[in-house]
Amino acid sequence: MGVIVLTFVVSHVIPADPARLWAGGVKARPEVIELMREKYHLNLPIHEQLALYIRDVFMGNWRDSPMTRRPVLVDLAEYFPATAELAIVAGLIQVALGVPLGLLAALKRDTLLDHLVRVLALIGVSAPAFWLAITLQWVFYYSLGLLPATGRGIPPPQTYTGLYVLDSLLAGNWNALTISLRHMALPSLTLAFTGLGVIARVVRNTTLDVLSSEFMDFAEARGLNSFKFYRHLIKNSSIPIITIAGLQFGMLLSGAIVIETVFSWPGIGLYTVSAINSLDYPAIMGSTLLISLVFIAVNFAVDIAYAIIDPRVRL
Amino acid sequence: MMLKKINGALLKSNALRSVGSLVHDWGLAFEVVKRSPLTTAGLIIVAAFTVLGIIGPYIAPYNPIEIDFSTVALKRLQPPSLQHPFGTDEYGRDLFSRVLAGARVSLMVSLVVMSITVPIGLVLGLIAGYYGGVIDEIIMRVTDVFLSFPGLVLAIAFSATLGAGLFSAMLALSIVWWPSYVRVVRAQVLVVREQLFIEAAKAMGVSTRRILFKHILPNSITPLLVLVTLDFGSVILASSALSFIGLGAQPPTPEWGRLVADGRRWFPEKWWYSFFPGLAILITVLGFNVLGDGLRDILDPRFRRRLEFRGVE
Repeated sequence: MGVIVLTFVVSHVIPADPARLWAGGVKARPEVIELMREKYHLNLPIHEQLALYIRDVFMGNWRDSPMTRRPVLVDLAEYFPATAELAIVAGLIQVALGVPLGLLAALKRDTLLDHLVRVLALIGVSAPAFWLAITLQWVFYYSLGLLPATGRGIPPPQTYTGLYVLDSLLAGNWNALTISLRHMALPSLTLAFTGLGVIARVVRNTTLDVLSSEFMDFAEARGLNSFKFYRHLIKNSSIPIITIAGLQFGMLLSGAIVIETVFSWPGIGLYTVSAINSLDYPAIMGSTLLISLVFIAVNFAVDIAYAIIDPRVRL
Repeated sequence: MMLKKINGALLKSNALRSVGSLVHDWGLAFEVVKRSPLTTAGLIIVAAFTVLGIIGPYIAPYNPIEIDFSTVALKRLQPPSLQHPFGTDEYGRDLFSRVLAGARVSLMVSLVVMSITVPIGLVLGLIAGYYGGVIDEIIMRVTDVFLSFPGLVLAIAFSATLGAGLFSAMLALSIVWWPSYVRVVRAQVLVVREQLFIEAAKAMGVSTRRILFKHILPNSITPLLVLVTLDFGSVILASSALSFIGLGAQPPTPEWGRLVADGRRWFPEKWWYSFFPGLAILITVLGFNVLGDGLRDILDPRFRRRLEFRGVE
């Protein structure tokens, strides 16, 4: 609810006259401008506009985009799968690489590997994602010609979820899968890199904390075999790891918005940036709202995961 | 009236001194810095960035903004050379000078954003933490709403509706940035509030304002200091991202993110155009992050004790 209000506030600190622009710019006829005002309720007092907007959002009417002349929800439904796919794959890469790296760094503390993880984390949070994207394009596309630089490739023949990789898997179409994965590689790696080191660092520090706790000493003293020993270790260090992974997902969504333009990746980011350029407030509001709803949902899932892992946590 | 002024000045000097007294033993702090080459590097980078931000435009070998039309055709898009270490742009301007001038833009943006958000965060955090109750509830719910957006996304939305430009970018970043400071300060105040010396001060009839600013504030500022150092880098990163997607700084302002975006048109043949400004962002932000990490170590009593325990050779 608060999110909706804030989204609304965001788009109503507008100094410009959007109705004029949407009606076709400076030369727009007054009656058309008036029609636009009417359509977007711009002539109502601000609190009535807010009430209307909240009602409409809940009713599933996210307004029409003046840019594409279609309902914003329809646009979002078309662009969202691309962003979701990008963020999910990047998140999976982060966890799949970050957790083992962090564990290794903790077990081999103060070795070269540990320092490398630290440097990786620092560069990851410090490098501008868009610049990283361009640099990777430079190396892997222009110089080596190994990977495609832009787009998602061709859509797989059947659409189930809108996620190309998953769809081609479901269809069992290996050719489509290869194409999607190759297009996926650069954007997802760029995005994953920004948070990979952070996750590895958190894993490392928690693991060290857990390792130095008394119950781990006890576990060792009991002579548990290494499988059980590591199970203790992983279970006890998973909560901070899940927390950071959840937070990182927010970073992934923000990052996706910025780098999608570089990779011409047809997702929410590309949609938002073009909406910004045409002062398409319903579209900006819609995508901001959608992204935060996803972010909130992910954090909620994280809370549920706490309760599953640690029975002491009550929701 | 006069008394009020003196009091204000006193408060200010106290706040300053309290930052100094956070480091109880400067020798030890120096030792920590010396032992960590990374922190030293961070300190050097940050110092260099600040100095260049101030004097950069004066020492730039060429004019970073003005276009010399008589030589455009001759000088445009030249690769890096001794004369132009970072090459030139499509108007024949020296990119090294533009990157230098960009340091000032980034420095200004981060300083402005910080000087808006940190006081807000401090005051609201102090109030929320100290008074608790309904006030706390209201302040924290509002910060919750802000924090349920991914920060950059909200900044983009605000910046987009405020209109492109450096000013609206700074405003948008400020609107988005303060809630995290409220949280950090409040959490720390909650701990400090319960300590005996606060109770003693209350019992002695010290005024609430004095307790807040003289007793609680200096004792709650450490985590904020570390966070602010780290966030200096994050603000630079975020503002360059805004400029990159076309919000934020507008030409001819030499903003780093903007330069990367401009250079993309000539990529990859004229790779230097995008490469060097991006590298400048990376190095600067890296400096702040490394310094922040180091500060955390210096200010963290656990870490200090370990060092003292081991003995400083």
